[in-house]
Amino acid sequence: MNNNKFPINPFIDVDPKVFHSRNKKNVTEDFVAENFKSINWNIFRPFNDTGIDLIISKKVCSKDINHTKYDDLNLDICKKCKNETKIIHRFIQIKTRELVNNVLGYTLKSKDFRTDPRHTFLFYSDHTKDFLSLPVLDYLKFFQQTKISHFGTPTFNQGNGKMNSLKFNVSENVWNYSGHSWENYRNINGLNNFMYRDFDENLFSYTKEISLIKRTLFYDFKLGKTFKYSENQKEEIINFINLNIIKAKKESFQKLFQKYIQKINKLDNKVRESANSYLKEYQKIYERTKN
Amino acid sequence: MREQRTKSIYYKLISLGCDIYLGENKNEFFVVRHSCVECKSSWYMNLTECYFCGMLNSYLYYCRRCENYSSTTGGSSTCSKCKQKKKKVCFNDDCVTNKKELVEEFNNKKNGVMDKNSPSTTSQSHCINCGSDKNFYSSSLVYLKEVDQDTQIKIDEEIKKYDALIFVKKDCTKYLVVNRNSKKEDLKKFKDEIDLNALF
Repeated sequence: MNNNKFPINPFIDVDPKVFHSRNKKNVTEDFVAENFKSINWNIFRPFNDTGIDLIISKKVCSKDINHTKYDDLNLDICKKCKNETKIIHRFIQIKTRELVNNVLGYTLKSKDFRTDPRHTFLFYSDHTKDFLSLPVLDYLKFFQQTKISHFGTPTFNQGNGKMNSLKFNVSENVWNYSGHSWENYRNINGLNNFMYRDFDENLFSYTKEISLIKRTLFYDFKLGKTFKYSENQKEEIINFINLNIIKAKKESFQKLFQKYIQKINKLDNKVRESANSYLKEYQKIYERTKN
Repeated sequence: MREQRTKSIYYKLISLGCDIYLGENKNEFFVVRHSCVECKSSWYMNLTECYFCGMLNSYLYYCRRCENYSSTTGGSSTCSKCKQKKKKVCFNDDCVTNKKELVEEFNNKKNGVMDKNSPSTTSQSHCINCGSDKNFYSSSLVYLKEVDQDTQIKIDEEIKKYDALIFVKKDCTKYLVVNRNSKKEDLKKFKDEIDLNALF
């Protein structure tokens, strides 16, 4: 059920619905940030353009996180057990969408899926004033468990696979994704779900778990309507992915990268310069290909 | 500290592959570097690799008939020798997308397998240094302080609140990064570059 306490409308002079797609980004990101500030989280906004719209942090009890409530003040000592507190961080990617026929349509691209468990997707429905927030691990697990597969499709790789299955049921006041409830991710439920997790302490075991799920889902290759291959050819492609991606060890990618550098460096100067004009963005590659 | 110098430090860090996040307090900011879990090398989500084999994008055209690579900047998309359409193919000759019987269908989408928004590319999924598929946000809460040329650096209570302190010399490109492991003798060692190893 909706809880009126979070999110609130921090900008009482304006209705969030008045903004349109071209001018809503800043105001909606500010809306989200001010909401976390209002419940005593520290907020950090990007100075440069990155894939993260907001970093939030909070001091929580180091002995038992359940001693800290989502809106407690940031104290150095836990008020319940008097142990020291520790800081947790969440890296928030905000997707603000208005409802069209009660559907919140959004697109997530392959570059949005990092293996850091603290990376959290926050879908903000500005028309119903709801936050639906899911850590990347929960998002991937949802699709793994429900077997709603779209990651291995050509459209997902193209970055134009719009998701149109997240629906708001007005009469029941509930959110569903293809009939599966998303109420656990809504407003305070979602906040508690991403707060009471040991992502910070066990960061690397979670990166491992996320990368495994990601590999399974992303490399479940589908021809879609894009590729016209025979069944035998499809089989051949899948076997190739199995061998070269899914079952491949990290050393084979290391070798592939070395091969890449060698090949770039063997090109004639004019061609190499062209490649370098793009690679300049990627410093660690560029420093090996520039001369 | 002047806003201009503060911004100058932000841009310096951005040029070194970091992202900057600003908080509520002046001179305090959050530095993040998206990195490989295993070797800490930088991770680039805008960089694309072949979905089928993991080879990085070369950002070049290839003429299959003449078997040569050429520039994609400003040049024509047809080969100057044979007039055949050039394609942005996978840079790995052994990739399934370059196999004779499959190459045409793979490369007739967009301007080839590695073209922007092609169905055959994906964001960087393997570390360019060690090949790992695990990445994370390496981060640090930093306090920035400008000091005069001859100021003696002393570490007070501030270091408890932050992961690192960056001291910059006034009107001079000399930097000192101090973290909780810094020793007293390190406090005199200003460098010409910001020491990222001390920062993260």
